[in-house]
Amino acid sequence: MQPITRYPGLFKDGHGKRTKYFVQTAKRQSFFDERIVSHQQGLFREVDPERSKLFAAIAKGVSQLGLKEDSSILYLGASHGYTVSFLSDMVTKGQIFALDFAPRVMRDMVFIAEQKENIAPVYANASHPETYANIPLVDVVFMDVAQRNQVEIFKKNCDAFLKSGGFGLLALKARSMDMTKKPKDLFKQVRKELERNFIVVDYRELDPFEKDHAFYVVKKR
Amino acid sequence: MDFQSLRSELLTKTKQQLHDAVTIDVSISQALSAYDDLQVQLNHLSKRLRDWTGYFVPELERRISTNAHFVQEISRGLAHEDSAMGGTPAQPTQQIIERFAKQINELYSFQEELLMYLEKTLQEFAPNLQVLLGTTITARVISAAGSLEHLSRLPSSTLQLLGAEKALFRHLRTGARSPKHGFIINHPLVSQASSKMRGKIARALADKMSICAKLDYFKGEFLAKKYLQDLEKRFG
Repeated sequence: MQPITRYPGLFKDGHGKRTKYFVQTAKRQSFFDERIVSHQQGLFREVDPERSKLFAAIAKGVSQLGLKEDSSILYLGASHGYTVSFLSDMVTKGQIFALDFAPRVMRDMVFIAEQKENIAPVYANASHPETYANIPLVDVVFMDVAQRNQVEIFKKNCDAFLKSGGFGLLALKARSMDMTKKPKDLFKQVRKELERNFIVVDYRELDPFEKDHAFYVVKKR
Repeated sequence: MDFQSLRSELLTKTKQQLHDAVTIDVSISQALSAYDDLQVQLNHLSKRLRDWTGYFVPELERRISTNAHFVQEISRGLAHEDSAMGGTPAQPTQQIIERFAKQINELYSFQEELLMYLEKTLQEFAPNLQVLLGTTITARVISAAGSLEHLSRLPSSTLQLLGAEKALFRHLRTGARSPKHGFIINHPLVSQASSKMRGKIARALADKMSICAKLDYFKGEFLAKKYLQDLEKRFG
């Protein structure tokens, strides 16, 4: 078990394809039936990069995410809260606003938010930032929403909630944007579009963890 | 405001919003899914019962082709026919088979009950759509759209193709022929039409569907009967 020092609270074990990823945690509590390993350094929850686009990007070697122990994060498209629950263990001194607009998944999210003191649920539509304007400025905006206009939604939210110099993380699903275009062409087009507003720090395609997905790390000017 | 008080405020607000989000649409799509699930399981169980009883009453098993009817027959008693091929069931075997048939029969009547529930609910909640399309198709389109509200906002061209997403995306991706109808293929007007007319009828029906969805959502008048008659006059 060795720490990956680029990201807070993240550890890995093993080599190459067999690498397993772990997040250090204070309590022996598993939210999604994930394995919990106890080690002389403490307790660790195993992350499955196939289930989380953030950890897929990490497994693909993304250079930096702008995450620190005390980061505040706006997470758009939190769904059942799989990634959020791990992020919550990584940013121990930070805070996460977990947003989704589907009642079925928000239900599960609320149960997690009740147990994790640094998660606050937001039941709203990410396309309408004005409906959750009571949220303060954050250090990181993470988005994974699989909507046709996901880039536009991302820009809107970064404008509204991201501090300048803060990081925006975008998990892009090409198949939601345009079924008829080739994913690679779309990825290039999105990169150009993002470069107009942000500094694009890193870009990864998430194959083989997620098909036709890309991950962008951008920094607000 | 500090984070903890904002968090508890958001928790309370989210719970309230989730509470308010539970509408009758949810029960409609869940009941429909339960109906579909039951259909699959009933076919499965009926097949097992047929296979089993076939050893004792092969002639009866061959004669009755409808599952529901067959199950009902056996649940009344596994009458041993004078048969050259059929074996003679021991007392406990006969009992357990009859019990099995009774259980399946119970599920068949529950499935009926689900359909009645849907019909009653829809007559109240979406009277226009219910008359225009019938119970199952109405439930299907509402559940595909997510809610009556969303359904009422959709253009009729989308309504025409609800349920044909696979064919639609194949058309968009590869340029294959476009689908003409989704769930409304099951409507008697569409399914009984000649293949040449089907597209036209589906189009016209979708137009009326769009109007009816709006009437139902905004609690408007009841016009579906007239629309249905118009369509029947035009295409019937």
